[in-house]
Amino acid sequence: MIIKKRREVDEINSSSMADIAFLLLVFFLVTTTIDPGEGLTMILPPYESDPSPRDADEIVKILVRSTGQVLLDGEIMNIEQIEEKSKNKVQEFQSTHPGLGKDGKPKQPIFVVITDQKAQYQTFLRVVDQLKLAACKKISVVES
Amino acid sequence: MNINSKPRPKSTVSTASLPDIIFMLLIFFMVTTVMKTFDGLKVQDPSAKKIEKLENRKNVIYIWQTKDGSVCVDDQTLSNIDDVSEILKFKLESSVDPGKMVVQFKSDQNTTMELIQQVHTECRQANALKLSYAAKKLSD
Repeated sequence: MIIKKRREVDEINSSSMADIAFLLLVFFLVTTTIDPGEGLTMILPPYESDPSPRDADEIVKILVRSTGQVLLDGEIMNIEQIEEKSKNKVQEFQSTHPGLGKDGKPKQPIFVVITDQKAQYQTFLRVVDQLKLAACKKISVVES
Repeated sequence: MNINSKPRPKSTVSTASLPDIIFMLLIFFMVTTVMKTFDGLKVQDPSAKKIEKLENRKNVIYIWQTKDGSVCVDDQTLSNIDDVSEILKFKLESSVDPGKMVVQFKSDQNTTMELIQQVHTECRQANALKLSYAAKKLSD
């Protein structure tokens, strides 16, 4: 007959668990960042720059009326059409103006967005969005 | 009489529940902590497709603008739109890297372009030229 010896129950030392928890706390405190938000980026020209004269054929005018109507080069169109049309304009411009610009890249036409004072911000932003989608580099905003 | 016959087991305070207490604290603080963010003015964001994320909150100046013309820069509400350039100038001067500062427009989608252009001009006067128009992601 085997006589069982009473064994002491082994305990896992859990005192370091607290340290682990603290470490986690500190880790999350340090690494947590708040989302700074997102949006359409745009670069404005400096205030005291005199607008250098441009060739008329370098400029593509986009007119935003107070009614929300949009005209590209005098042609009324839907906002969704602007992306396609402005892509064509860029290609057209680059075929008539071959060669590279100052930055060593193909020349880009300037898209001037002219807005009515009473035009809505949402309409303007959708137009700029379309130009960005068409990868237009030079976008200028003018108040009528 | 023998008193010391039974050896008494060592009594220790169990620390096994200490991590639970600390986890509880962790969760409590995570739930109750409210980051100090100023909600600005109540605006309806416009929507756009090609939106980009801003990099660092420290380099962003927020301008709220409602359709009735109230303007708010970071946490200051302004009565006059002409003060925007002064505040922007001050903020740019006191920032670590003025070249990296981005101004984010949080304007209501129904704001007229007249008001938007006024703030544009203010930004240009303050030489804050990097803009970001806050917008919701518009799915195709």
